[in-house]
Amino acid sequence: MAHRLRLTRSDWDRATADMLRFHPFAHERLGVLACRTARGAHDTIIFLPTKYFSLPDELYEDDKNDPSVLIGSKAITRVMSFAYETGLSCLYVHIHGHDGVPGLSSPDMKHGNNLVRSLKNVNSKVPQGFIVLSNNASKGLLSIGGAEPRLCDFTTSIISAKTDIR
Amino acid sequence: MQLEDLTRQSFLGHSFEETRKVTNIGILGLGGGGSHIGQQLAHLGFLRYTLVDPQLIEASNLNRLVGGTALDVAMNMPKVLIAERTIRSVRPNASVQSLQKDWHEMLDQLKICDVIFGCLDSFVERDLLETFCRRYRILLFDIGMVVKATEDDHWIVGQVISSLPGLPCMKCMGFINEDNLRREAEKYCDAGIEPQVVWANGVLASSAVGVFLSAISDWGKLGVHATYIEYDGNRHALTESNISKALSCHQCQHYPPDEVGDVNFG
Repeated sequence: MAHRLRLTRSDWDRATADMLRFHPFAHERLGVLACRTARGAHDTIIFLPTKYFSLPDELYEDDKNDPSVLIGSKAITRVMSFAYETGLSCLYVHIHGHDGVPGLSSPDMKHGNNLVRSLKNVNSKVPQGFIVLSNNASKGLLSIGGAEPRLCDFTTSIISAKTDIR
Repeated sequence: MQLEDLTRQSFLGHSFEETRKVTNIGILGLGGGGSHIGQQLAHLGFLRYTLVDPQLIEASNLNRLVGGTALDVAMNMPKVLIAERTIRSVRPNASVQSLQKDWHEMLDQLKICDVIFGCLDSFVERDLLETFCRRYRILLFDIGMVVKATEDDHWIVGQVISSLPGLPCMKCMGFINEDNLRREAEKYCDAGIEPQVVWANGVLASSAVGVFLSAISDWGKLGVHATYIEYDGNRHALTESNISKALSCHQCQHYPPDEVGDVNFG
């Protein structure tokens, strides 16, 4: 069963506009969707974002040895503090710009697993994750109940007068 | 043999092909309104359903329950199973969860619905369902009708309402208010048998399905903001309510956007 990610179009647009901003050296941006959550039938988790955390430019890392590294310990610590203080379920997000369900690259899997572990170490009572957004759908790694991150499918509702459900 | 060919509705857009497969649709109340809705959604190609209704079919339902048969009445068939049979007869590959229960007992099943069609009889139930849908950001489409006796005639009236998270709700539209909740509470034990008829149910169900499709498909570029369609069954007219037009830029104040999710996640 696919988990659910449900947010309004205005919140989606705000998050994606932030992540599409130019950065002096990072090839893509990350953000964090902080979500209230619900548990539905068949162990389905419903993620309901209520806040978006934008990572400031200076927290990105220019790692010459591994260009796939976007952020380092300073940013990770900042997001861990945010997750701890809010008590909300946090989803690292970034964008792969196309329609339909996105895939996770090998760097996404490698770094995503580590980022999710950092969040679950702060708060394992709520699900934590790392998800990739396309123009209208999502897929990603989730840690639920403190378990190791697993690749999960989502049904994504972007709600407005014209709602996308994918 | 090819069982699925939706080329005649291709104007709904390329993305509809994916949407119809993944969208989990809840229908609450599988009587006169809900049975029409299930049938139409099956024809449109939707493949995931959660059907909730505690009732068994009775002889008095046969005047309007689409798909119901005299044999179903003789066999005391649950309404949800009649709806499931209707859906599966059109889409054998559909995933249908039929719950012969009160919807208040099936909240975990309903949370995972992306869309709910509410075919409920009372303002109180509509109010509770809308509160539930807002809490989990579920799209809600409500239909209902009543037959009012006048001095020398009977007047059929009804409504189709969309209630989408972040957009105006049934309270914003004035459809649910203190007065009608109080009046309903006063006549709680005196409701009697409410008249219902197939053609009016059909008009309202068809309109609700149309509103739903303009909300989630590429068809109908205006989309759905605060739809409140009033049905005058005696004049055979559907009219967009003036309230609905007035609320085109309104932000709902009744359901704060942060009051979502389980109160105690566990």
